[in-house]
Amino acid sequence: MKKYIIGIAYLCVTLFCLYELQWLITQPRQYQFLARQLDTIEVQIRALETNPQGDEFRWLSDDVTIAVPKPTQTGIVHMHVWIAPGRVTTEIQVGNYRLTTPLFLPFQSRRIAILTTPSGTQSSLLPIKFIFKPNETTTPIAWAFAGAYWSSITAQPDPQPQLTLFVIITLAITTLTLYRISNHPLTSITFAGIGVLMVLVAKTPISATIGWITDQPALYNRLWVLAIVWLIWFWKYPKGLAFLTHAPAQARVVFVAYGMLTLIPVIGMIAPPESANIQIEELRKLQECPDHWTGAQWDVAANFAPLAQCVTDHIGWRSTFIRVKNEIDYQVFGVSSRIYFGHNGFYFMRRWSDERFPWLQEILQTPSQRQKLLATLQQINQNYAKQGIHVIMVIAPSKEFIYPENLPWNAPKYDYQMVRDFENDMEASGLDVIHTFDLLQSHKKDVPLLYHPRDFHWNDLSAYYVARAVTDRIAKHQKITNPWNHPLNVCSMFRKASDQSFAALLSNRNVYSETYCQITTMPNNTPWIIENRFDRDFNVWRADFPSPSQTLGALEIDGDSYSMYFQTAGLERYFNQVVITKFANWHDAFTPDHLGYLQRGNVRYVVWQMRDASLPLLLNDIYNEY
Amino acid sequence: MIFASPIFLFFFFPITVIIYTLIPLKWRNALLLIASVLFYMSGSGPYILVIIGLTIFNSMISPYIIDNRRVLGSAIAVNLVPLIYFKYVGFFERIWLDAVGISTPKTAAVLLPLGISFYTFHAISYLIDVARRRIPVNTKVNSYLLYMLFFPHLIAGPIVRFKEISSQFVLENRRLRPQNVSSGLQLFILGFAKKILIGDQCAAIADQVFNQHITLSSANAWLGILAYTMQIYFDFSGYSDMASGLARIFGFRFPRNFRRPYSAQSITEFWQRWHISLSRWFRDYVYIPLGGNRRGQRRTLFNLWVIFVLCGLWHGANYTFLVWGVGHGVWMVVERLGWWRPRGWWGQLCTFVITMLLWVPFRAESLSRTWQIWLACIKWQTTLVSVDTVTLIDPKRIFLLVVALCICCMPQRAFVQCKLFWQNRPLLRASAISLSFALAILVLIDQGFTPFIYANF
Repeated sequence: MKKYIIGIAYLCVTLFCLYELQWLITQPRQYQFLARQLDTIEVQIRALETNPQGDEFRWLSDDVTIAVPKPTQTGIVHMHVWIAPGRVTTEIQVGNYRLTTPLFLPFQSRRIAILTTPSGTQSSLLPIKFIFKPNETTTPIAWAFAGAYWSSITAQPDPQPQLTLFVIITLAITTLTLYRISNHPLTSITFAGIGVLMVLVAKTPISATIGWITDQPALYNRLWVLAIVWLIWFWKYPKGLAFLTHAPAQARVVFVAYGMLTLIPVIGMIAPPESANIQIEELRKLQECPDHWTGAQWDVAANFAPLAQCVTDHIGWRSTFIRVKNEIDYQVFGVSSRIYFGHNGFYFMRRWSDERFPWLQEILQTPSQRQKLLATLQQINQNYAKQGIHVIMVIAPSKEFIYPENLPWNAPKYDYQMVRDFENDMEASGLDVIHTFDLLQSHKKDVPLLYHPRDFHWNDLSAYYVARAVTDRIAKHQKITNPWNHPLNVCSMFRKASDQSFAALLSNRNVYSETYCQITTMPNNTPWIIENRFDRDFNVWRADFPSPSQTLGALEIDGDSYSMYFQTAGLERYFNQVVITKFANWHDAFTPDHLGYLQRGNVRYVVWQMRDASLPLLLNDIYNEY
Repeated sequence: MIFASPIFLFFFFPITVIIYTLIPLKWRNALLLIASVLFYMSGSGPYILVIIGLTIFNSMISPYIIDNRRVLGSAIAVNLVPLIYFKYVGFFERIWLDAVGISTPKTAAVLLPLGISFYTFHAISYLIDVARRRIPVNTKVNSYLLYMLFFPHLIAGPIVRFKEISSQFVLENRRLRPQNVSSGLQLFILGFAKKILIGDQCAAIADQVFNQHITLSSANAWLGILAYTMQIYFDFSGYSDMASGLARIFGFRFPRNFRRPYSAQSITEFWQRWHISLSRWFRDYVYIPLGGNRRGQRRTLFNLWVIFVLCGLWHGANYTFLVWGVGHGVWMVVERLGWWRPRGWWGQLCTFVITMLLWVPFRAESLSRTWQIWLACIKWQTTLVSVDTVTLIDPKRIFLLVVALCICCMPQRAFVQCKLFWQNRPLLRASAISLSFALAILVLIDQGFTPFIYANF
């Protein structure tokens, strides 16, 4: 009788836990609006389709307006959309407002975040429509809608009591499990005690810690299955496996721990959880799984290595494991292996501080290396000069140097003087250099922020100041005075912060919004065209400006991801064409393909933009990592 | 494939164990053999033929080497050919170039087959033991093949003698028992946790110092050396624990490879505690045949010195390993002569510092780098700390370094008490080990794995 009572009690607790879990699953989904719910729209051009990732979407024509539920609280409506090939859009109509959107790439899934403020009733809808340029194709397909959901940014209605209860119940179940396996109360109580302690000393609220779960409905479907399997196994195992029955209690604990911890990643690999919302930025390409044998038949090792790396990179629940590990590091030691947690909400990537700046310092302090670096830059300058092109060098400082006051105590603080001295050397050797560090320092107090606090990039404002300096320099060469004449208009916007995915804490939400300033200077909403997107050697973004107020000719910007920010700096007012190019290797700039491109566009000026942290890579012929 | 890689942990090992438990008893050795071949081929591909070739050769020659020194010598020479070719030809060319200044025709760079130093020693120990009638000639090739190829010890030891495990090839002696599997699994997990949670974290500090992008201030140099001292112990002893644990799961017992080496009070004692299976091998198959300590003091000292030169070269074909071996050899001679005999905590501290300093050439890429680091250690006045010192004192890594230091250097009595505490609480131990496994898995998936240091030898 006692056995049955315990069994029923145990089952009740488990079901209650699962109920709580289910509540957590459904709670955030009440705001979701999916493609399949577009049935009410009369103009629909295709039925529901599914992409290889399993996302359902529906193709729509350009005159379709959809309406998603409008929240009653301040929050962000996140939309998943695609733009059809051949279509160009830079605007979206939301209610009565027209908003400028970033450039859409054909077939690339994009998430649009729209800030909404409280108004109306819960039943009110938010009409959304894309504004396309005149139809360039005959196809009626314009865009695809996958889904929208809402998340709050203020007065987070996280159900703290329920979540706390959930954690307590999870702990209780684990403790009971441990007790059941080990039959040793002290061990179970110790475990439970550690769990409670961890909850109590947690730096972030429990709600934030497990907030990530709410992004993954598919996770729960599998959790249900896992829970049921676990329950059956747990209830039945002593009879089913004689080996375990005869094993001592401590052996059973180890078997279960090893079994679970090895089984979960394998199951996750075979039946991957939905991972689109919890991607972690690793600044590297994950190893693709080999699908054919390469090399000689006997070369097992060479074929095995990519397979092993593929397993490492695609092991089930990898993102979750990484986030748990980082959360533990953060909670226990206050550190992360990926970033430094700085002051005022700043994140700094450890890769630069721990590896790149010491390397840069070593190179700049070693005369032979410094000379070699200078010679490389001179070589670049000469190669362009042979084509009749003038080069302006822009070394973009990392935010560690512009905002050193936000670095934490355990991050190394390097003096930027080493790079400034090198810039002086560059100038002395005949190179045309913009002293970017001094420029940004002088404007640091004029604007709220020059860099994204949780991203390693500078923001539009930095790009604006540098673009202005570049334009003035080119104008000076052409003997034109004071050409830069448009005002700086800034507005507050929200953007998704990428360092959230670099930090990869469990408490991080993938869609994190931070305030930043974006310049609104593009009067004609001129689109940027990707001309060579899939080329291995370089990518090109081009924009043609038919009627600049004051033309300085065509401008080429060779740079890294920092140079993308020049797109909104206002260069269209002064140049009739701007081309932004990213190379993997600096030699690629002088291949016939690219030189032909420059000649066709009649480019006379090139901005050679590099990050300070990337300078050492030049010695290995690398120009651009990302 | 290495033990700490996800493909081994999540696929190869569990699948092997599951099949091992399901198949009939008589097929189990065959399974282990197949698994070992796959394991080796995944890392060294066709070089499996070298080890199989040596094994067949040794099996065929072994009946003829008993009491026949000439044949034995020839057989040993044949076994040494692959080792010399793959590992030392390039080094000999370099020595020739350095000594004479004339470069030799360039030989093609060859990839070192995995575990060649270890399986060559296994093979030689078998031949010598047969020749000395310590073990009978083994007529079953599959047992000998399994002895040579058995994947837990194949890559980085421990160096097991045939005599020690020959009785374990009999399947009736290796029935699957929960206690064995449990203790083996616990040992395996312990080794895995030692490697991932401590060894690799210390490696992060050591790598920053030994790779040249950090300022070599005194603090950085000492911290780097200390970190490497801990890294190599937790890495290699972790590997040995994993190997022994795996073997125990399959019913084998390997000899112990470490006995708290950093608690040694002299270098002599250190070598009785560090890589015991290698020390034992050199003692039995080189030192004693050279005369050991029976031919007077001078000869004894010479023998000691020779052993350590060979030991250094065994680890790697580079001047740095030679310096490391000579350093230990010289210190052993000094101790044998009685010029240096500290005991107690002072002896332990001195031995620890000497060992630390001698790890520098073991880790450094070149002798010049070794010299730079040694100089940085003693130049206290000029550059004690530098701007990048803070990158080394990451709170988590320093905490783990301190934990490692405490584990390694705690007094023997405290260590015994600690051991007893865990021994008397098997459930708590099992829970703690399970927890450490979970943490190690998290770290492994986040940071990846680094190869075991001794897998390069």
